[in-house]
Amino acid sequence: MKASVVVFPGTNRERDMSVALTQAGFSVDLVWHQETNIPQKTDILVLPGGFAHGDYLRPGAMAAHSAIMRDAISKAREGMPVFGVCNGFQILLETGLLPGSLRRNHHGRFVCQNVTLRTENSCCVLTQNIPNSSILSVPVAHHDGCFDIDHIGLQKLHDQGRIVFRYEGLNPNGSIEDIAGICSENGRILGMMPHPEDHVLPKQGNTDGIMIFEAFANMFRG
Amino acid sequence: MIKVQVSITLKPGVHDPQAEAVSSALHDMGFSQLKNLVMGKHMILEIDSHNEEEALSQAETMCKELLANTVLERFVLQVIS
Repeated sequence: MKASVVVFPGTNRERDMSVALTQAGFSVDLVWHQETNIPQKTDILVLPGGFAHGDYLRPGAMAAHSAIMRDAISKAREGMPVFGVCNGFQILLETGLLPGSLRRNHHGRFVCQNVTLRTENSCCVLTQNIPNSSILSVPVAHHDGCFDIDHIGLQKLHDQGRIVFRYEGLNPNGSIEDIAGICSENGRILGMMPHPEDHVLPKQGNTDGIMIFEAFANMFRG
Repeated sequence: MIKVQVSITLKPGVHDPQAEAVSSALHDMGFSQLKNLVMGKHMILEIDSHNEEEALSQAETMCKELLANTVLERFVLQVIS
């Protein structure tokens, strides 16, 4: 199983992400944003967190137009699984692969803390091996994580079962309906604001996040 | 060369904690008549063209494709020279 992790100037979570993916059994390729093709035999494309292009203009805006993303968008439309976390989620929204927007946290402050997530009954293929209503503790670290979407878009997310994670208890950023992660219509593109890759090793204080990466691995193992 | 001024602001109704913080600071400084404050981005594009319509149309495409997030933001264009 191979995961390709894209690195933009300003990405800073590629190492943590690689550790988590390796832990779940993936081999990992780091791919620079100016590459024009995703490596052959990639099973899952991963957009990690950070501050691509310094978050200038809007988080993810310029990254969404980089060379590698042209191939990523076309492969994702053909069904390649894609996972975006934090800045990676912002990039997925800017490409239009996922709907809605992530705007400034409602209280205006950068948040860096552990939050509790609940998995929803969703059509997400990547997380299908995680039981519904599982509770997991994972960190968030962001300034622009308030998920927002218009009424019609929200209804569509409901109708198609595309809300994958919600904040349980504390909503750290004011996201509509406590939404922390959503997927595409075909269930193969997943974006989430919290960082499960930072809760995978005992020395990180908690290993709840590994269930997400193991779910990815189980999907490929069939 | 045509200069196009771009002004990008959040659509009315989109919560802007930055504008709220600045507005509250101005109130604390005694500017009690301030009723609303809108913050945004200001850009000047120099476009190699002699045709204003063409320059504006290019600027509009740039806004729609990159400079503005049209889900949350609106933009106003003006030729300034």
